[in-house]
Amino acid sequence: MEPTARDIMSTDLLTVEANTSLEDVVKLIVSERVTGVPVVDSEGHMVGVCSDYDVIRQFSKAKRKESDVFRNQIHYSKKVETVTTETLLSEIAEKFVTMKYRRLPVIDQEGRLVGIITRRDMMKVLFYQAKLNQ
Amino acid sequence: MKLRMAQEKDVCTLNIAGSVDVKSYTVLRAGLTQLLKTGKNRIIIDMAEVDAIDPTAIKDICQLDSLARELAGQIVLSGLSPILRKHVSTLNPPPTIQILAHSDEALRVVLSGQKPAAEAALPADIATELKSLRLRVREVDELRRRVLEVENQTDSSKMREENALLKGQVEKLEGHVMNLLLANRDAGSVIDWKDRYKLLEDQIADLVGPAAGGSAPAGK
Repeated sequence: MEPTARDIMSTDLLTVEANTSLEDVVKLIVSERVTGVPVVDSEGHMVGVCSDYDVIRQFSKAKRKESDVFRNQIHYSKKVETVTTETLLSEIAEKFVTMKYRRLPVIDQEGRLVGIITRRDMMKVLFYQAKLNQ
Repeated sequence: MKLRMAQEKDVCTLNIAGSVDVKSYTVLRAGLTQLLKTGKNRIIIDMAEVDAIDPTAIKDICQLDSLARELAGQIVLSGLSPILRKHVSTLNPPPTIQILAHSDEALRVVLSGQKPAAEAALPADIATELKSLRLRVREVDELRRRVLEVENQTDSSKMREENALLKGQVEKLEGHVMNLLLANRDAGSVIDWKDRYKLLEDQIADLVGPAAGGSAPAGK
């Protein structure tokens, strides 16, 4: 039986809320060695993703490149592709290939964030599947 | 064997109870490979309630641990009883496989990504016994290797005998075939020559016949 998003997703989630400061997000992204974090509302519903790209763009667009910039609330991408817990591995792989996503948030039926699948997770799955199917 | 699974963050803990023989290990192995195939490569196998385990299972778990380590994961054994721990040690598992006293400790170690901690020092008498047992295991391995060598030699001498026998049979068959060919050729040739001889005789008779008649004495 083909694995689904539920089987391969990571449930150890790093999230921020929309009112988080740029400084906090920078610290989180750098210290946790990730390329972005999902943005959720107070009930855990997925509202967007704040990536390293978003951080750099926000800082670059600021007129005064001073530390005040980091006190601002984050600007994040609201149009985010997600998958459900039942999405098949082959469909997830297809999305990673065609859309070049770095990560795919996994949501439940109520739209709450329940997991995340990164390129790293996909590589692990593909590696072990190949090795153990020999 | 009973199997339960729990997950904390990205660390999966498999709790096993009962005896792990060759048959029940297939179930455990299926669980382990399924975890790896879904990218879960940080696994704790809690054996606090295991009575006995088949040596091949331990060897296989060690191999899966090596595979897990290829992508920064690991498989840790925990909660082994002293007897089981001693049994596992005699199997000479690779030093990479980590054996910890409790599943809590294992979880802490795996979550923090610590390097394998040194095993608690064994009491002197057990350590000595272990050393002698390991030597015995090596001796048995050496004996097995030699037995295999002898078996291989026996096999090749048998094959040589069979080969010689087959060669003899082939030669015999070739002789028969040659004789048959010769016999057929001779018979054919004889028939052929007989026909040709008869034909020639008839031709000679036709040619010689009238002349001979003409030379007969006129007065007869």
